[in-house]
Amino acid sequence: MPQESDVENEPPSDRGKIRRLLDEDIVRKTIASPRDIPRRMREEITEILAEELISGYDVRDIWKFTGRYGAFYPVLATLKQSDEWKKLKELAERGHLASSIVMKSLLPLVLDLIEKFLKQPSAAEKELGEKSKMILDEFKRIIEETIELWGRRAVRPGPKDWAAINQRLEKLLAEDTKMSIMERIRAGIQGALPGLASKIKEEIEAMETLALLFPGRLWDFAMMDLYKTLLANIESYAKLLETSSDLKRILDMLGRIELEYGARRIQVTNYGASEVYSVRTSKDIQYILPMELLKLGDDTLKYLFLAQFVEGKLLTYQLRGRNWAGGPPKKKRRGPVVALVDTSGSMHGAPELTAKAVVLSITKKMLKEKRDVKVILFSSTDQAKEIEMTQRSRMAAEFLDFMRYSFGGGTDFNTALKFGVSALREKKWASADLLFITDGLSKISDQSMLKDWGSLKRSNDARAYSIIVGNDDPGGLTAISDETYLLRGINDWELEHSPARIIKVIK
Amino acid sequence: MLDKLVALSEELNQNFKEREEEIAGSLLALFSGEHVLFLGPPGTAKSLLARNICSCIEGGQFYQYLLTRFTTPEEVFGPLSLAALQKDAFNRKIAGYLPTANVAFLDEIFKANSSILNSLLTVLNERKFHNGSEVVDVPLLAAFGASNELPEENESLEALYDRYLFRYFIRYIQDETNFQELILEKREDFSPKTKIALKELEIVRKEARDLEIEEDVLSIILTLRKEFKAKGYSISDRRWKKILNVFKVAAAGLGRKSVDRSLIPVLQHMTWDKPDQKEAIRNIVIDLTISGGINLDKLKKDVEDLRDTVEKFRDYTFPKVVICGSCKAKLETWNKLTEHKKKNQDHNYSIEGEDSDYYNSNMDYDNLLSKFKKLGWQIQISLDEWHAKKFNEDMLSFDGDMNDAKGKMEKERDRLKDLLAKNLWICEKDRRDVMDRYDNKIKTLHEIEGILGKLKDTIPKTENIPLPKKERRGGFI
Repeated sequence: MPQESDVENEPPSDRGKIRRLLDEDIVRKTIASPRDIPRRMREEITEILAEELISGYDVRDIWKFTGRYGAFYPVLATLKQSDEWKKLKELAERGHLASSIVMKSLLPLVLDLIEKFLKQPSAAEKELGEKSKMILDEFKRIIEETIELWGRRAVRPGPKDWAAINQRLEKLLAEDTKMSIMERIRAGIQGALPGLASKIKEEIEAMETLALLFPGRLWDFAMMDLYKTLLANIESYAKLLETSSDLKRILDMLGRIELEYGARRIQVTNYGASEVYSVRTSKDIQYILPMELLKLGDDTLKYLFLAQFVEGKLLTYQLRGRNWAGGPPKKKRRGPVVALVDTSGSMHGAPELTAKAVVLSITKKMLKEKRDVKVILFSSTDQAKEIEMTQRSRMAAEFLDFMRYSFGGGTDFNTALKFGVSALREKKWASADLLFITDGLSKISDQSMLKDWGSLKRSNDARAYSIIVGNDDPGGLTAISDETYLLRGINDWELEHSPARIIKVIK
Repeated sequence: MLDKLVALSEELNQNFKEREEEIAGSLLALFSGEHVLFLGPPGTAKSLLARNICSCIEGGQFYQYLLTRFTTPEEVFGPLSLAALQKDAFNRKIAGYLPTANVAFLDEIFKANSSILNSLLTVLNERKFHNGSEVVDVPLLAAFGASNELPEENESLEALYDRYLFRYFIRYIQDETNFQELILEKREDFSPKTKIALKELEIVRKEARDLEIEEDVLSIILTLRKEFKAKGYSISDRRWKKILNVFKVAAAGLGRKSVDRSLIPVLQHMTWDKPDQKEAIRNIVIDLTISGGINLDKLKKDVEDLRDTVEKFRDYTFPKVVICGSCKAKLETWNKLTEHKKKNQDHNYSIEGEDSDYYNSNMDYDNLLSKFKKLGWQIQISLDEWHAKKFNEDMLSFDGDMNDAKGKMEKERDRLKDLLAKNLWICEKDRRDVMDRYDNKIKTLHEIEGILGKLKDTIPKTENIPLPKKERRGGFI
């Protein structure tokens, strides 16, 4: 009995993704740039690549496909077999931004590969044997004619026009000759693909950083320049920190929002049996419909009853009832952070770069997790600057300024703590924790400040953490810090191996 | 036949207010042998409408039942035959039940429970009923279903939902006059006087089989399929096939010789899965009906992209930066300068690094251009031959699409209007929408034409428009 439902064939998560990708400006602009391949075919190739990238595209009717897309088929087939393609697909899974960038870089490459056959200089072919030369020439002609058909406007090509090309391709791609063409394409792909994924990855990451800092402003290539001059250097370090499991652990501890039970609650499910829900056929004799019992009264029907009982075909009530539903409790959501960054002159040099990298990686991570960050830059007495990076407002310009300018001035922890405490008194940041990033070369002298902090700690259950950079001594913050970490070895950072040795100081 | 149809639908429309779409769709479903689902809150005359449409079939067996979660197979497919059982056979007495009905109405259809679901699906889809060892052909024309809500997910009812090709969302009456007429209506026993014989349905179906599908209808369907796919609305191949069959029957019912695009709006009731898709589908269906398969909004975007790309290629970076003296903006390229000029007509410019004499610091646009000339700067780069040729090809391809749509829209406007007016299956709202949007679409068309016209001027003409196939191939062999 055909019971398959064709209401939904694709996983729901793919809905609309392809449309969005095709509508993306940079993808559209890539299609629009001029080529030998006519516009209409560029568009269709993009559509197929988009589908392949997002939900996978398997060519089912090869000869119909080649009849329509000619040389694109062997290119697609070879592309799909390559390792680099898997990497690209993984990149595309990161989201819309990533898949757009992949598409933008990939499309010209694929189109180039097809066009390459047209532009192949004859000199290179002289080395080939007579037979493979003929094959390639024929393939070239087929591509040309495919392109010509695609470009035809006045009378649209019908199945007949395609059939001719199709036949020749079929002959050409027969087993013995197929290889030399596939070889060619494979060579083309191998020449173009290596390193593409990692190159694209860099671009995606840069764009993702920018997208976090400037939500809603995408694809502005001036932004890319900005990124290169301001952030690229710092981010290369920040990226090292991002992979650090220690930092992740610290971030996970910050902020307090209690366990959410979310979806798990009592509702009617099939596991309970407190109410009659429906009728079904089964052998649950305890829930049998009374009319079935009538059968037992008749000598013949008695056997029917028994047979149906054995087969589980008796009409019975289906029961449902209230029970736990909705799966395990949701993951604990973590809270916001107020980061206090020491911008004093003593931080100059490696500690400064490290502090910026720590702040950048923290901000990126927090924003990605939809957590709010407030960065307070402190130096001399009563000098501090607040940069809010929240879901609502992103003071991105100020943030970039912080990344750009070098530190200077004194260190006054009293000021830092004062600003930190007053931030935590705001309702929005009430559940935040403090995170000091400093070289520790100062201490807290203001007793009333310490008292304030103590009372806030009690009432809000607030905590303070310190990350000490450029110093092996935890310094003057140990008194108020719940936990202190030393970030060691910042002077000999090599991008190749992670230097982020974070050491916890035990009091 | 057409006269009869008109009379019948008039009769029904008079009795049921604001149900034009549903009546047209139901009649069409009867003719094409498809099932209709009415969704909507209680008390919207779903059942009454279905019953009345059923009753217009002359000499047909009618089966109607209100399904509940406790409905047993006996109630829908007939009681077990005791006599047969004594002869070792497991048969139902199906006479008078669903397996013998021509038209069926199943109320609260999504309450169907698992004990009847499988048999029900087979009856609806294959029109067969397994009665013991015997497979009975079910003479079912159309089954109407009514429900208050869509089936919950993860239930096997989704398969049942899919069997319904036509889906209508019925709402309460909107218009006050209609509402008054409804509540003051005294006559209780309405039943359409016009009757259609089963034979007549058969004739229409036979005629439908050989009808041609016009080219633009096919092109609309191909565009729609692509659009739905990209949007993630999945419509099965079976559904498309059935839709085309419905089109043919609809055309045959109207006495037409081919399926023309005035029938396309019917498609909106056969393609949505979730109510929130309805509006989007309706919009695109109506737009494509107007343009005959060319998505004008998309075409406009494409043409604009081409324009921007051409501009980008023609852009020119000045050897030295031009600075706007009035607002201190730095203008490095020709495009930036022209854009600036467009927004600020009366600004003055200077060139960075040039002698800052009086003339350099305060040039208006025209003086700036003459300064450019003096410095030997190009004003705007012209495209090289290859780019010009390729841009030209793209432009002409769009131009072709535009002209296709233009032809469809301008020349065939009256034809479409006429076809729609005489189209019983299209409701007044759609008819009006198509014609109302016409002007809007023509505006878009003119915008596209305008951009293309400008492009034609900017791209230098090359004489070899169609790919010079022979010449190129000569180069390779």
